[in-house]
Amino acid sequence: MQRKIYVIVLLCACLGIKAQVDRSIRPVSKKMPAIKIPKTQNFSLKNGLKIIVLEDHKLPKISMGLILDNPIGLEKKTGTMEILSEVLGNETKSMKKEILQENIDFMGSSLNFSSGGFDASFLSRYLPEMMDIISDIMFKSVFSKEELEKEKSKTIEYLKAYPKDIDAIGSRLKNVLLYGKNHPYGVFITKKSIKSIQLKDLKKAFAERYNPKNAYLWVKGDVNFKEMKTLLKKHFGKWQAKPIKKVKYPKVPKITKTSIAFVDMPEAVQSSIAAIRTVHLKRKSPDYFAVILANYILGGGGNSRLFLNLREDKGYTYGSYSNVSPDFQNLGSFSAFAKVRNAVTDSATVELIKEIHLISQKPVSEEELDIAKSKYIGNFIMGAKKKTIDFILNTDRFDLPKNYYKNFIKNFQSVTVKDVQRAAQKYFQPNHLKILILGKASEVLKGLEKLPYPMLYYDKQGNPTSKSKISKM
Amino acid sequence: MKNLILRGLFLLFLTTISAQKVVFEEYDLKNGMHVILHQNHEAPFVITSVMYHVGSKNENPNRTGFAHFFEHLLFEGTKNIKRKEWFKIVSSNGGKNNAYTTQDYTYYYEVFPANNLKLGLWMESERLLHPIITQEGVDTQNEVVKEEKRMRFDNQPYGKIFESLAKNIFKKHPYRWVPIGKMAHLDAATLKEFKDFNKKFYVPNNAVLVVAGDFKKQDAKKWIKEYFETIPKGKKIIRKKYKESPITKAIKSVVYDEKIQIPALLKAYRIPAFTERDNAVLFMIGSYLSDGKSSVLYKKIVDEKQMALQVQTIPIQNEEYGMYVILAIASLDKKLKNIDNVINQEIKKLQTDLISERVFEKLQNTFEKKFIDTNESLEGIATTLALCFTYFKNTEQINKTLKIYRSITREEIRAVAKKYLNPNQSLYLEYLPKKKKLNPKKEK
Repeated sequence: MQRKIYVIVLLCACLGIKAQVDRSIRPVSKKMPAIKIPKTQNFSLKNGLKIIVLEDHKLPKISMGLILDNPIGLEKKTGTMEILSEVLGNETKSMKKEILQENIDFMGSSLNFSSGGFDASFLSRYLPEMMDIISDIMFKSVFSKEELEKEKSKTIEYLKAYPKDIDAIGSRLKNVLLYGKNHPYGVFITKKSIKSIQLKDLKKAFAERYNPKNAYLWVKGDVNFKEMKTLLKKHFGKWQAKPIKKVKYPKVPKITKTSIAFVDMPEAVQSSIAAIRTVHLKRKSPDYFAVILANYILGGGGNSRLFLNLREDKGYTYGSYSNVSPDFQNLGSFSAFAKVRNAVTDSATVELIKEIHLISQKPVSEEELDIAKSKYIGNFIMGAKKKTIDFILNTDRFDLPKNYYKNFIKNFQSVTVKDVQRAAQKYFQPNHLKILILGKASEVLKGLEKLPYPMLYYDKQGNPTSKSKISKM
Repeated sequence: MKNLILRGLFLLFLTTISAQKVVFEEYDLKNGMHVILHQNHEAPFVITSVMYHVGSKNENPNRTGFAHFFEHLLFEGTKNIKRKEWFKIVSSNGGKNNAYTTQDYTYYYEVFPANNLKLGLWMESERLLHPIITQEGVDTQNEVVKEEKRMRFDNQPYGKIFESLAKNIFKKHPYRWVPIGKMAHLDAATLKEFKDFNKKFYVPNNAVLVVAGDFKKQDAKKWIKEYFETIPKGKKIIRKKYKESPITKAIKSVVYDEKIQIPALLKAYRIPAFTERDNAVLFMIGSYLSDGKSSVLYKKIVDEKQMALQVQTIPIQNEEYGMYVILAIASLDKKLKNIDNVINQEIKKLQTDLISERVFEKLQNTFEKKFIDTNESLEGIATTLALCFTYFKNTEQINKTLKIYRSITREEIRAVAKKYLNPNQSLYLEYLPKKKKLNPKKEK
């Protein structure tokens, strides 16, 4: 008897030791969960409007959106679309401004119309009322001179804030340098262009943008599909399709040689550096997955090369990243960027460009590629449910193969180290970049001039200027 | 419209009972660490988060920025996680992570595919048990934090707003400084000071662990026990109480910012702790003032009189006090004083008359919608659970929020406006572009 007890005690002691977890072992599981994508219900109206409905009854709310994929750049006066976005939804034939807005707010709803469609979010018990309001705005909108003038003067006021805002000027210059001032991606609003906008421009823009051809309406949330279908048919069935105008876009400037494009920001305590170029990358291109992974390894996150070098190693910046946007109606772009203190502007530029060279010249490590793949696959699995509607939209909008998302993980997995290098060479092209730098000339120019790149100077409107003019400013 | 209201009220009643209850389980570990588990199997991922009850208000006035600095330092590695490896481990296992710091708490989290709950728990327990704090890490992160400050504040139009408000509204309370802190303080800090701060505040009895998402409870409990319960308890934290004397005379202040062109008006009041019922009422008043195009301030100031380009009410709600901020970005040539007059008039009305039944119902609907939106994402629920425990010492508070808003009456709205929003309790701050020395007309 005694003996037996002894044995049991000993056993317990053993278990006790076993229960002490070994912290030096990283408890990693490589078996990712299966992906869950709910089923949507899709149909089209005779006028061409494509509809996607996803029932989800977890919360008593509904989200809804309209996406108008009609060509951009139809308007002659820059700013027309921005003004349209502000005034659209203010007033209709049946509801004066005050009443319309009060009705929306009363329900606790949000409803934002713009030149590209609308977004709505509301409590599900208000579905019929919201549908009435939405269809009122779409088919009975009233544009008044008074509202137009109000928005014009507001926009002109906002423009005044521009010259000192490094991010606003940065994005304006990026677009001008990459696409040119005549391209719809490169034009920007000026006081003059806003002043020239008339009521008839607004009406014309609205009529041209709001066309059920190439349009998508999605609904998600606490709805019953059958009911929803009836409602949508009732409200959108009468929407008349019009032929779509073709737009010819100007050619984008070619970058023959890497150079620095400098803009003086006399008040800046930090320089904004961005190496940019246009890229021709369609989502359905066989290169797509390799480019995305190459970009991740270069600058996609906290364990990417730019971040590890410029932040974690050198302490130059709060963050340095890169991104690639594929083309849609026009060319996409690539950008690798950082904001750094004035004193290290030149050194940071050197490191940033060095990393772009490096990823194009030398194969990445298997480990880096594995990390990048896991990151994308993991995020895909985790986010798939939330992105269900996006997947359907993307497949149609970007003309992707039907099984694109089914093969998504497989396509990421099949990318090789060689593919990544080829993609980096083809799309990042370190010898064909614009290095856009906005900073305080008196403190950063000296260092930049020593770098082996031609220096070009621009004003805040994107016009070429000279160094002597900058130093006088 | 009447029908709509009746139907609305009826359904309102129905939805309260169903749908929105957040179910969770909670318990304490032997070392005092609080654990909250919330399951949701809709998508295959799991959140592991730890909220430490330490923020900038716990800092020594000569060492501001410490709490936020730790948010950087605690990614530098642990005994079993090498320097620069943190992000790599997260990404290579398909996850994502982040952290942020407020005046009251610091929040760290990972989101992993459901298979890596154990990994998330291990990482957070490593961070709590034995982070490696070295001079090298301190030096690098010191530079990084300075860049963060430049990017977010010094180089940012209107970047000084928060700082200017805080030091005017608070005189004694540590809320008078901002989480990013003073760089000179960080420069002067020794390695030992950082280690001491860590030892004092980063202890299990000052933290709450939340696991939310797609996981099995038995697994979670087992691994939490293995990784966290063995971590030694820290000393009891003694929290100083700071009492501000009431503001009885209007404060006026002017701040210049060379990064802006358009002046702004900031009107601010000191408000009570986040946990106080009055705070919920003030939140509702903020919505009345400036939520949506039908709100009184938007209608008057932006639309009718075109005195401002935008107007917003921002309640900054904290554990011990808060700031109630009305911000208007002026239209050119419109005097800030005139905007202030309209704000005062509208608040006066609110203090004198009851708001209409219709407006009251609008607020009820707005807050129901807001509540549903916050609980829509799992990340949102995880944060709210941790916050309810940290602020209220009562996690169940998450399910009471909507009830509180529903119980607010029109009379109460009037009374609370009277109590806190009087001109003599306010800060009037003009936020102006830097005065031009020469040739002020020359505009580019």
